Amino acid sequence: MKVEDLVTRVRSALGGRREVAAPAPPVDAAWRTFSDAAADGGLVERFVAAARAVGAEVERCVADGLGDAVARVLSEAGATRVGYGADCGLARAGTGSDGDPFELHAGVTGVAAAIARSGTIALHSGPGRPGMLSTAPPLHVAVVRAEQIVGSLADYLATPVDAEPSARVLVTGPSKTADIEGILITGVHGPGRLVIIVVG
Amino acid sequence: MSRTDDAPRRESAEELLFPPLPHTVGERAARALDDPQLQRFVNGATRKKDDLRVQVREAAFGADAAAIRAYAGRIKRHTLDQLDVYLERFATAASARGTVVHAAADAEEARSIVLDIAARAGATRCVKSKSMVTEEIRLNAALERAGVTTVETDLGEYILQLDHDAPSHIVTPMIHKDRTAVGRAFSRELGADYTEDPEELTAIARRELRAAFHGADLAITGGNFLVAEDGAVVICTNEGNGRMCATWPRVRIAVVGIEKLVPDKAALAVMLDLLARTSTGQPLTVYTSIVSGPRGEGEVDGPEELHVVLLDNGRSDVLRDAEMRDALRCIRCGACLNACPIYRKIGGHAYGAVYPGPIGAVLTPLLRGTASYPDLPQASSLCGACHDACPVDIDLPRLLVAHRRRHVAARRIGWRERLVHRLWAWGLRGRWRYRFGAWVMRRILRRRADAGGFVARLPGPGRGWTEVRSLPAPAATPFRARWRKLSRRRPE
Repeated sequence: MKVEDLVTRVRSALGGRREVAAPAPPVDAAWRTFSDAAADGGLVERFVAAARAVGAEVERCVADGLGDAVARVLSEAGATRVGYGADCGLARAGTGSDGDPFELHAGVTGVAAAIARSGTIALHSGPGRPGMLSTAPPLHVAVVRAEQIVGSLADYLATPVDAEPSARVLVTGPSKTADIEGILITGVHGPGRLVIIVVG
Repeated sequence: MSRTDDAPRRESAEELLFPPLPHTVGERAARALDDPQLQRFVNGATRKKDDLRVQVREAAFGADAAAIRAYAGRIKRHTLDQLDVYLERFATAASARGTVVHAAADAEEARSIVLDIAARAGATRCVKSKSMVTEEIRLNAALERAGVTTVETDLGEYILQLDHDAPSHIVTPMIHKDRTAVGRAFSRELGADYTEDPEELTAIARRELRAAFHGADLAITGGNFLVAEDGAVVICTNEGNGRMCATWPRVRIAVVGIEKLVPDKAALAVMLDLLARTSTGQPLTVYTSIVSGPRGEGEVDGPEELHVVLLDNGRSDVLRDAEMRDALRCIRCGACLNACPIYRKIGGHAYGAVYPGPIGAVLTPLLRGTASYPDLPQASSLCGACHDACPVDIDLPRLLVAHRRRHVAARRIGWRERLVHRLWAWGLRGRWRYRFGAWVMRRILRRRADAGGFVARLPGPGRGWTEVRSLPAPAATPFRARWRKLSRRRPE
């Protein structure tokens, strides 16, 4: 069946073509209150607390301290095969990420944005930013600049981007499952450890 | 402790979800009630999830919870009422970004589209991310027959696939199994050393599935949402398997029911804020992938080919049915299953369908024929817990009653039940009839009551009722009479 035929079928099920499309429901006041409330107070503090609540490890550092902070996390984890995303803000940015991602010990990436309410980081695909860097290795180190943090998911999705990336991935904590008797286990297919370093 | 699950299962995985029709719930429900293990697991797990859902709703939305879910319901309602427009918009936007959009009228067409894509791409090793809609179209068996090795990668689905079992919950597919069943399946099918430790079991699955991911040339996923504005497919997973499927293999096919559309990103935000909180008590699932096209220029991963198969398979008939249209609002969070006292007792397999629980009881007859599931709308106490739990405000009890009404109208119920309905209707149609009926009932029940005022056994058609519970006998003086007496008394 062609897509047009499916549209025609659905249109006839809905009683035929309508002259004027009905407007989308107006934004609900309660919803707006809920979304806006996420921007109250210190965004950085709220982000840190929310990210920890979903199981991420969070560190804070000043811009000059980023290299040391990342190096310390990697060496403590014994990670020697490391892929660096082009947006991670380190001297090694863009290196180590062209081999087999399944062989990596860790991936270090920047983020496109972070969401305070849920402790989420948003990763946008693009050249030099392979998605596998933060999917395949057991450790993902994400560098968040304080000014990248927004309040709510709605705020993030409403922020315009230059060009829509082929993939946006919102990451909220380390990989988890509770499929066996509801017992929480981290590190199933994605990274078992997510370390977020907040700069500034 | 006795282990009842070593007994051979009576149905194959296929028969569990696709029983011979017409399917009646009764027989499998009775078996589930006699299965102490199922009673313990399903009851415990659903209660825990339901309690968590209520807590999280209060913490996140507080007094605004009702208003927000009503808003989400309005968005879904609006989208369904204009689904033709949004489908067109989605197809245009997705094609513009290089996604190949297909349409399938039914399960057979969807399967042949998928097999065709696989054959053209020369793909033989497929990894799948959990998807109920691919269960609905019975895709795995078709892939295997076509020579495409297919591995489920969600931990729960992987275990079910290994153990030749079928999902019994739309979010927590192996809610009816425990760790010992997993340990046995792993040692039998994978040759792993037997262990009951969930952490070790997960590590075994991770190792096995890594190899499957690494060698995969095809990924098949469902879709939690389709965003019309950007032509994006959204999947929500916790383990990372969905993300891996969306990123690594060179070909990805997303099979998605047409009801999964939302107009734009603003609407998506509302749905995502509700889905995980309602489903698993998380603010968002660990990975939410919003994919609006295949690998872009200069990118080293992401699929080279991205296909979206828009599936009708009965959905446009539900759209046509104005009384039932709301059933398509469902975002498959599973909250109504967890809240349902019937689901908790009979488990998912009793429903004999891909979608169990209250939403399944409404949706299944609509998708597979009302006459095929004659007693399914009765698998509810109409207590309303499902409606209360629903994040998009589907009035499930109303839809269940509508189904019951259709069964009555089509004379699909037995003569005894019809007789009872008639008598009941007659008795309620006048004050004296009502009083007479109540007097008869009072006489019968009070005569049969024991010293404690309970009726332990009723004869005839009432026997089924008293087999599992005692009935309190009516008071000697009916409330009507007491009320008259009380209202004669003067207030101070």
